[in-house]
Amino acid sequence: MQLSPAAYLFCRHCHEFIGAHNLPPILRSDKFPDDWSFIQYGSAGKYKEHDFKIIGRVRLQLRNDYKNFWTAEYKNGELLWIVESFGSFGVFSGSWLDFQGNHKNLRAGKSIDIGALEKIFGEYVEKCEAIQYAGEIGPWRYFSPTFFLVQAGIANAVALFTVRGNEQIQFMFGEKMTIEQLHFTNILQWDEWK
Amino acid sequence: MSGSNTISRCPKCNAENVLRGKAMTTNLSCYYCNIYYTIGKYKTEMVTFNHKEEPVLPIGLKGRIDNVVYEVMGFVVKKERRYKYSWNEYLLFNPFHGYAFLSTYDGHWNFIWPIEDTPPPNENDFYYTFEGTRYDLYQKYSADVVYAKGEFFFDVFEITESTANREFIAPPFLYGVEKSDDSLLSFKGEYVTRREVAKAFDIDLSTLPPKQGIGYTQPTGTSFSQRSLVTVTAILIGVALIIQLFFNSTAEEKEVFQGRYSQTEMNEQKFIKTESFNLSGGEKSVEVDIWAPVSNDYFFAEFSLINEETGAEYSFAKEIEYYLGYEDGESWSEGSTYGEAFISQIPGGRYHINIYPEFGRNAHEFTIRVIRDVPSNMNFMILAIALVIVPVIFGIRKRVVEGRRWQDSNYSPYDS
Repeated sequence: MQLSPAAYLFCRHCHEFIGAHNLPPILRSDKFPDDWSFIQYGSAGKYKEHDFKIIGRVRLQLRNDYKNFWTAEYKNGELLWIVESFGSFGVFSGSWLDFQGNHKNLRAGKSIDIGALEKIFGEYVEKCEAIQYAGEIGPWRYFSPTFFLVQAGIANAVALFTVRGNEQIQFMFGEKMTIEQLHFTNILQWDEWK
Repeated sequence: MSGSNTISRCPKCNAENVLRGKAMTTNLSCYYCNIYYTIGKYKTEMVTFNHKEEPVLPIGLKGRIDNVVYEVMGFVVKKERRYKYSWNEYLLFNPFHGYAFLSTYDGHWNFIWPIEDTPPPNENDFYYTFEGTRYDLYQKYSADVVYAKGEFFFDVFEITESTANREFIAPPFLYGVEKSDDSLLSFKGEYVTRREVAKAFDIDLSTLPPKQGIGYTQPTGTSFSQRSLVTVTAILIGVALIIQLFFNSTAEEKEVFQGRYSQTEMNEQKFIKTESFNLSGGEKSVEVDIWAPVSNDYFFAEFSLINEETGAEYSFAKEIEYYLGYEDGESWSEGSTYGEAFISQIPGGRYHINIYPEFGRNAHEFTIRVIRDVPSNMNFMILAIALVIVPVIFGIRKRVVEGRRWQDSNYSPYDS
């Protein structure tokens, strides 16, 4: 297993927690359910001319959707998130930020102020029903399925919020991408679909 | 069938369902007892159906649409809440491109896929511009699922029941918005023919339900705007007018013969032969002007323009009438002492005219003048009328066809 500046490290095989920068309590993830994800550890890609490699994964099973948060690493060691769901991709190169806006606006169709853009619109609110994680994972907050995920966007911009009770809401801000734009290699081919 | 070893045990009959969608499947109808349930511990409610319908595209069937291989994962029959009409939807899946739908109603099919487009149209918008195309509001509806078979990546019952739907059309495309408290999803769709569906899934065309009426996104060749049709017509008429003005400005309009004849000159002859004259150039028009000093009288003549070198003969007749009087304190007149005949495409050469006159009671003479290369506006007029007729016919057809397309819509622009 390679080592990177990732925040958390889980065994890819038994999913046991190995280490963290800030040493949280011992965690062990359930195994990933078998699904049709074609990205895998070691998959490589390119984002804005910069090569990256997949080093870890967090999978959220949402009430009516799922989200794979793939931790990827540039050659210079910088991390990014590639978030995938049903062939739809978002790339998040920044870290989680504290949301200072009105939490009541974190709903579908509502205008949300995140500062970076004049307006961003809520797309869906989904309860996280299950979570699994393995490998080297970037900064991550919740390791149990007790939170809501809110997606918002406008044009090609996308933001993901995690909401749990009265805790400080955090969000990531990124860019919607197509599979073609990310130039993936070393992915599962699923030949029966060709 | 997709290679899968993911199993879900039916909470009712305890049968093992091998999930084609693997862990992506969240809901399904048991392949054995057909009850609908949610996988996992989050929702224990089971649904049984009063309605049963076999999908014409079987679950597990693979097909190629837009060069992407999709597998049929699920099938639902939905019923609109207000007007109670129902339609079928097939959930399609590809690991690299996600999910899409084939929706079918009255034998018409639409391929529909999710798009990321925020913000969508406002609640009260009657049209929406997407990717530069105007989509007109066709329907707003809420629906319920009355039958489900196969697997789903979401709770199709809950999602269908909780969303308010709007559909805008720009045939062959549609733009849909599904809005609930928790989600706001946009879709784009495109009409596909029965033949395309049959070919995509390699099934016999006769197995698909027959087509009835006009589908709401069916292309009919009338999906042009009235304004663009009028604009194109105006441009074509303008071009024709410019060409006509060009020919008018370059026409010679040269007088090549003039003669005056009286009845007395004819003696016993039945016709008058004019002197010979030259018509120069290639095939050009000839105008013959005739004056007869008739007053409450008429003059009639048959004319034969004869090419003296080839013997070719061009015949025409002309009647001149002029009547006038005084009646009920007012003067009136009708007709003219002048007439003209126009013959197009007369080859150059030496010609004369044989005139067979028929004089009335008073006038016993007439004058003719022959002019070579006279511009005629007739062709332009015929072309202009033809150009106007085409959009008129298309306009009528568009109204009839589009009226039928919109007859089930509460937002028809064709309702009077």
